[in-house]
Amino acid sequence: MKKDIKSMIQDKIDPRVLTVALVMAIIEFEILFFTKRLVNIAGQDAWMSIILGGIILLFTTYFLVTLALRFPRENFFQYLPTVWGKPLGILITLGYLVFWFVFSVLLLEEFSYATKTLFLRETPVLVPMLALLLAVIPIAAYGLISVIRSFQLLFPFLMVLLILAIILGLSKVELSKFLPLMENGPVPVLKGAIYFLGVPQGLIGIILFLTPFLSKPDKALLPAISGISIIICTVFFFMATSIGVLGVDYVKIAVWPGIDTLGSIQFPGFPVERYELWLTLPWLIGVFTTTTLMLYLISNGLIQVFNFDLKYRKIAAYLIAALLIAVTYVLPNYAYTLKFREYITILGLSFLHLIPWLTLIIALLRGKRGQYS
Amino acid sequence: MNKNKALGLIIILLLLSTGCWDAQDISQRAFVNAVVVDALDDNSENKYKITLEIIKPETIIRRDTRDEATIIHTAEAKSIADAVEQIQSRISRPISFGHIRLVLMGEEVSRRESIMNTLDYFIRHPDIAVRFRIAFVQGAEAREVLYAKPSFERFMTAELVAMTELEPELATLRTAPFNEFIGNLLGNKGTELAPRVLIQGKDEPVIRNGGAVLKNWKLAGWLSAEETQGANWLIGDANAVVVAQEDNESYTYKVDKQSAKIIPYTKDGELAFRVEVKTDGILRQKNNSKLDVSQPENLAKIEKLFSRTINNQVSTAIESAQVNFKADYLGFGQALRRKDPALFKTLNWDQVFPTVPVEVKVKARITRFGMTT
Repeated sequence: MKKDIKSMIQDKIDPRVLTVALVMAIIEFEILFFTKRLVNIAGQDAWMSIILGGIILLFTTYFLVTLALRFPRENFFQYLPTVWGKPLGILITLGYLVFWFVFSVLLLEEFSYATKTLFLRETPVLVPMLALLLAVIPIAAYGLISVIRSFQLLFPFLMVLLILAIILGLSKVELSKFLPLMENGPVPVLKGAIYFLGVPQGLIGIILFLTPFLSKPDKALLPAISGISIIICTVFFFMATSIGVLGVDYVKIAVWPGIDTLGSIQFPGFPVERYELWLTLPWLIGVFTTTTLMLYLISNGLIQVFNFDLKYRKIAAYLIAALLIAVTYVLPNYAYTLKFREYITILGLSFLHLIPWLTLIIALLRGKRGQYS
Repeated sequence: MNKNKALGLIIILLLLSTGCWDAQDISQRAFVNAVVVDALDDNSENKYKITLEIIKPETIIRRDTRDEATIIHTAEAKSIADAVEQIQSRISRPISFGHIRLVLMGEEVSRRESIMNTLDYFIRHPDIAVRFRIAFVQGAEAREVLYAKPSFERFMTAELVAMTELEPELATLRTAPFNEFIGNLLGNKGTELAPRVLIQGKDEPVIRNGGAVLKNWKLAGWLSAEETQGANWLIGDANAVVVAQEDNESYTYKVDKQSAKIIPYTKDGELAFRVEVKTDGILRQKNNSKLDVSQPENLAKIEKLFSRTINNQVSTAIESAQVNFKADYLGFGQALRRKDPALFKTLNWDQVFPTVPVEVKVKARITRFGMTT
């Protein structure tokens, strides 16, 4: 199972790229309707949940970087058996693979549902899904470096439009819609913060798998913190505009509050309308990049677990993509997708926080560290 | 052809072919501009009389033509979707709701059933952005509005929508974009003050002023233009024109800045409210008065007169809400909820509001008095 990836790939990545990689990996479809779930839990105090959850997320990021630096030339799946022992290590790895697979299925299902609902009513859902995956597979099959390079290319398109969308939304925010503060006490805020911790699914995939490819892994902390901070700010402002424009009660009944928020904006007399369409490109880019990363992680993880040669990664990527599409047809309707997505987010607390923290603690207690740490 | 080129070609073909199923020329669609919902009598098999106003784009582009700019179709149906299908069978272009501007609700249907029955169609439909306007038509079938004579625009809906751009200058009508309307309606559990439209005659212009009081999700009654101005001191932000009279003298004042606070407090253990209104404005006209307004004491006297007049308007509006409608569309409940959410939860607000004492304080300032004294 041990493979020194760094020895196989000569290309090295500047640590500063970690910022871009994190933003691209984490921002996905959730940005359109994550607000709804958080508002269901914390009401108009959802912004507090994001700040509180964000602080904890920054700590997790610090621990993740610390863990990655302890094994700077190995990825997470490579040192899990070293830290936990081989059987447990493989079991945890398989757990991650299943978790990411289910997450990818839901992401794909959300993508096809939104495409069908908003844009391509008559087109069979298989077509946009195939188009997406056929574009994703070659990038994922070429390895993490190519995944990250594609992230770098797409980053400006995502962020510029998201920032414009947020500025538009903020212009119509009413502060009274955030009152009263803590109407139901601090418990919903805390629950919301915990829920928020399960949202950034791409976190582990970037920090614990990209470190071996960094030219200077010891410089990873600051870019990682910057990336997470950008995500926290983006999510915070996106959520604040949804609540401030639509109000809590409307956010609760909207399927995609982000679209309704921009859809409600108009400037009388100004000829440009339908600002909600501005979200189309960021949303597509978000789904594309996150799916790419997930496909890479799953295919690469399987190669590592079963000790296959890396040349089979492309075949693995195609097979997994086919399986992803097949499983989307198992989900009976979108209500199930929404429900499973909630479960995945809650489960994400273990996979994004608990297991990495425990891995670091056990590594410290057992004195385990990588060869070049 | 090598493998990569073949794959590239397949991807391009797939991406291009996604549009084939949904290909629709923009010039070949029937864009709905307004939807009008009227009631059919209870004995009828169908519940609604739905009217769609559809734009004829070629007449909009060619302004010299005398052709009607819109076509109007009415269908009797069990639901809006049912009516749309019926109307679709009469026209050759697919109906599109992407540019809907106005929804008009008839009095009878609004009194008969929950407004949410109708609104559900509009907030659920993926083509409809929540930026359209809603208004309630008093004393006639709402569809008659579409046949009224516009003053400047080519058709009545355009005239009504253009009127919404004047809203910041008119305090005698209720102003609310749809997202604000639905947010307030949901937040106040079915109570809200909505815009009103009045019909004068077939070839006469319609009047857009006053308000429609919604209570328990249904239309409960109407506010006149004067009553709406009174309510707008608390819930609107338009700049009112106030005429104050004392003996034979009268003064007219145009407000250019206003603020209102609703302050809940307890007096001898009983809940009470204080309303504080502050205005700045210009003296527009004086009739039968020889007061020299360049003298501060004279100006102070007129300011007191305006304060009393505005106080009367506000008090009348509150009395109307408490006594006539027993419905809190003025935001007292929300003010209490923001200040003391725990107390608000313990109250049955619908029962408390009609009897809660309210004290009104108004401070009107004349900051300018024009070109003469």
